[in-house]
Amino acid sequence: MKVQFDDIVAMIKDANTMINIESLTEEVNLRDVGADSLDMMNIFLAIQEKFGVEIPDDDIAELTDIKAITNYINSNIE
Amino acid sequence: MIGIKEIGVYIPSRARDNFDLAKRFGKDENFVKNRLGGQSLPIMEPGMETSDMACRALDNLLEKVNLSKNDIDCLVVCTQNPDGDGLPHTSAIVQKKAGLSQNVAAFDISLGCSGYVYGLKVVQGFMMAAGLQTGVFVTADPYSKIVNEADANTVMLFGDAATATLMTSDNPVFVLGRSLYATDGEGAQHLITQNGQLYMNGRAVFNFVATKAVKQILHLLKNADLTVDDVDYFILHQGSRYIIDTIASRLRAKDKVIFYMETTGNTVSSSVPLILEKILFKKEAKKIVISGFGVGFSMGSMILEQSN
Repeated sequence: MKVQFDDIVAMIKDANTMINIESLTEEVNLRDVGADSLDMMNIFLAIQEKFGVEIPDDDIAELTDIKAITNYINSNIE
Repeated sequence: MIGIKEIGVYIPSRARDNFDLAKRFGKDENFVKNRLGGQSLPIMEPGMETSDMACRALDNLLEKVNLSKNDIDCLVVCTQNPDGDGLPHTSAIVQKKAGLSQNVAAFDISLGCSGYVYGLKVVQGFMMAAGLQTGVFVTADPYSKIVNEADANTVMLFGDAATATLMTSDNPVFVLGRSLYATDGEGAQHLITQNGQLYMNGRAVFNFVATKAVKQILHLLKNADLTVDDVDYFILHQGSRYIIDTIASRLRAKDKVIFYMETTGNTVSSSVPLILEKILFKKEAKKIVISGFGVGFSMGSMILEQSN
């Protein structure tokens, strides 16, 4: 089953970040809706724990919005 | 049973203003208050040594208890930033500077943020095995010696402080309960000194703490047949405000996790005893979980129980 936009939004809600959930769209840059570097770490850890997808430091720079994140998970999920 | 009777502390009055540092590194006030946690970061005076901080904490302890220096028969110092180049051991220097008896057993422990949790059991076990009566367990790990002034990841996080815990079987306030320890040397590279300066991979440290430290605490409670509800306070190593908030949230124990680092920053092995000192005589602090995690990656968690 493919990971969807709503799955990531739910995960971000659980992660207690400073992101304004109402402002989330598929392509909005998470940094533009309140996320800082620590929030991004928290989100990447939640992805790792929930979907079993490890995200190396080198890949982080590209994962700036939910669309990029869902694509990344779906192409790396086992 | 040998337990904790009193804690002396030393926090240098000289300090870095973290809001000033924030301006320098392009961070805002919210980041300092709600992400890092340390608003003022104490630094020991120029010319001061690790042993001097240890002696100040010991002096503070002796002001609080009716104890002669000659009564102390065990002195253990936890540090990874010892005097000079680390030889001789800092505890020997403290013995001389503090004027303790030459009959004192003195040695150092090399551990970082987990050091207090490990050290309590090391000191207790050593004292019991050697038939010693009155131990002082010192934490003093001044990161101002190794912090890179140009590195926002570390210079805005750490502060200097020292503590001295009196350990005795003579009416201790807290007795040491069950504990768990763990090490993942794979993470050692992520919090390390290189060419004399501290390097930290914040993401790797965060992942370690948020996953493994939380699991260890829950495992410890399960081993003791306890739940989060049975614990009065959780005293966690004050790595950063963000780390504390994350663990508190994952433990579902936000109202029981104590946050105290506004005026200290991350003081490594001193962070847990700095808080413990504040609640030592609170009647409601009957059952406490302490947990330290970091350098190594090493972690330890322990249940402390009020003895009466």
